[in-house]
Amino acid sequence: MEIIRLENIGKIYGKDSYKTIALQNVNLKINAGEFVSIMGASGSGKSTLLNIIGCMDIPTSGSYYLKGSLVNGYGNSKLSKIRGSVISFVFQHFALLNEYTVYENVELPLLNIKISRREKKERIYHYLEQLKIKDLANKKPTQISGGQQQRVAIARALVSEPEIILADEPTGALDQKTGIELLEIMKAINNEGKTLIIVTHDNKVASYSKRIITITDGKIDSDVTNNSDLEEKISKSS
Amino acid sequence: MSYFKIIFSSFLKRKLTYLLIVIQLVITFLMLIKVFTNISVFYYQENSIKKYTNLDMNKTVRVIFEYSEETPSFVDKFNVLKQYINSLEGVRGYGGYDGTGMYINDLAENEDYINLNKKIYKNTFREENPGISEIFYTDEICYNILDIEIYEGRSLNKDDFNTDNVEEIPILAGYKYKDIIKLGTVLTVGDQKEKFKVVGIMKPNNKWFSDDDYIRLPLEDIDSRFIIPFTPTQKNDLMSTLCMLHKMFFVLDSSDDFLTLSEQIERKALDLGLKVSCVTMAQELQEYKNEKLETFKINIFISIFFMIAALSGTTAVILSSIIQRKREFGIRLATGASINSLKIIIVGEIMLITIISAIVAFAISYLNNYTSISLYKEIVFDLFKDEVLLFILASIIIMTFASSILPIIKINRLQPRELIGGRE
Repeated sequence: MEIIRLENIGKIYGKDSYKTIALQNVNLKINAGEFVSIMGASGSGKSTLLNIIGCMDIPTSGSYYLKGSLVNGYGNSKLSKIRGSVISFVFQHFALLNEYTVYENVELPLLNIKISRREKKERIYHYLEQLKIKDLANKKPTQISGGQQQRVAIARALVSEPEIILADEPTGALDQKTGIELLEIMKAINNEGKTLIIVTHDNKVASYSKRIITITDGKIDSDVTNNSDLEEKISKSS
Repeated sequence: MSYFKIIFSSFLKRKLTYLLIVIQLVITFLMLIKVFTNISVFYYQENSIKKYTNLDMNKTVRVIFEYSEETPSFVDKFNVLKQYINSLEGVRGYGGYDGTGMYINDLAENEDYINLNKKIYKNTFREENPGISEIFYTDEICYNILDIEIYEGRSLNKDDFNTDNVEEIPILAGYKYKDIIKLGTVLTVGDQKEKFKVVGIMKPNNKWFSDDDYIRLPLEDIDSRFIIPFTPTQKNDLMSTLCMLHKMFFVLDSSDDFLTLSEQIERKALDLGLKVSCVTMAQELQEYKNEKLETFKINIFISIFFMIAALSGTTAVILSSIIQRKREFGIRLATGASINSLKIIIVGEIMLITIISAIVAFAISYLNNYTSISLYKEIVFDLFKDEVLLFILASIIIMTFASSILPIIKINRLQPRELIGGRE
């Protein structure tokens, strides 16, 4: 079932001589439950695409359909509701609030959802346990390792039980071993039925996904969806 | 985590910066409270005169004696002038009042009366002399311009003020004595030459002009006082006459007659070897207002200056806080918070700073008034119960609103995609 559809999406920053074309004529369909990697060089537009899909940015042209609804015309309030319930983010540098505890960081998405205090607590501990960081609930992000911080970020992304998880270079700030552990977690999340879209420039990271989209100069360069194509694509890239 | 917890946590994180703003806001609130209480007291006086008296300020005229002598002949001249003014066509009456304390034999020995006065006089200069009774002697005209309401018995009438050769002079007792002094009780003073018969008990909350300055000082509570028409002894007593000089009024039938009658009175006074001038109560009140107005202007100017400085300071600090917290706001937006919820956090922080400042300023002002020796102390305390609280509440709302405008504009301009940078 199609969950994301982009039609001729374009994004331009600045005006006149300061104009920068970040995306042009991007057409893309992503089905529910897919694990997609978006690859590309620095400045290719992959993060812009992720921001548009995540409703953190709005396209200059084209149409963005999320679960069949046109998102373009939505106001800030509706977009924030989408970010709070349908889509979640995992960022490269974890994006945790250092003055809050692990528990409070995971609680952030639930502040914007009507949910009982008991259910909120149960949900937070459920995901902390699932990611094996329950013991760290009262610690501050600065008191835990990078890998643990990223697990907190994933728990936070999962706690609102979204349908789509967007990850921007999720292993970029981690060592290899921790990165692999994390990718296994993400794979497991995808296996549970969540749609996973990862922006990365790392082939190994991309190899975990079932579909790789490559972006060059704001345009989709390739979109490889089957396993054989995938292996070929990875080997070519390496 | 509720909004309050988020706001409070943010406040604690930036406590030093916010403390400096709180200090600035406290000074502003102190100035605002000062100006507000001064203006309230200023209008309180005018309003009290209107509320507790029957007088028309343009028709009530005070005769100012610009010269006095401590001689019996001066009293004689004064009494001649008094009779003259009373006889003038267009003058309803001329008279004065005098507040004093004295021992009323029967009461000075009454244990219940003494015990009650101990409570009433506590923390006043009368504390050591609970046997003394506080009395206002009055002429008919002054009694009539003050709107005295009676709880039990009767009011004083025209005949009651003719006290010559009267065996028992009528007296009104204050409400607080209603359980101790019964109607019809005859009270004696000193060598028992003068006897007073209690003909009425006054209702609570009656007021009388201040004995020292009826315009500048608050009206006095007479719940624990007695009202007595001037006795023959008082009328001819040098000290009583001198004490009464600055509290002598006459009432005109028409304010149009003021200039003509004033001239006649001043001329007659000159003939008697006295120097007087006449001024209406409205003129005196205006003069008092003019005196106060200059101080008000300075206070208001300083308050506005502090307010602008405090508002600018708060706005600048909050704007800087927003810039510092772009990452935090980005994370909140990415996790589903709306721009409006960020506005609530920021406005909440401004309101928290303002409320803390207002509470501190209120406490300082209250304590300051508590230790004050101002004659308006009680009036200001009354203001603190309602009016000052409402004023502070309104100020908090206005200052929060004014300080929030630019930060809200700034938040509206935030772009979610730009907010989450690298590591903190």
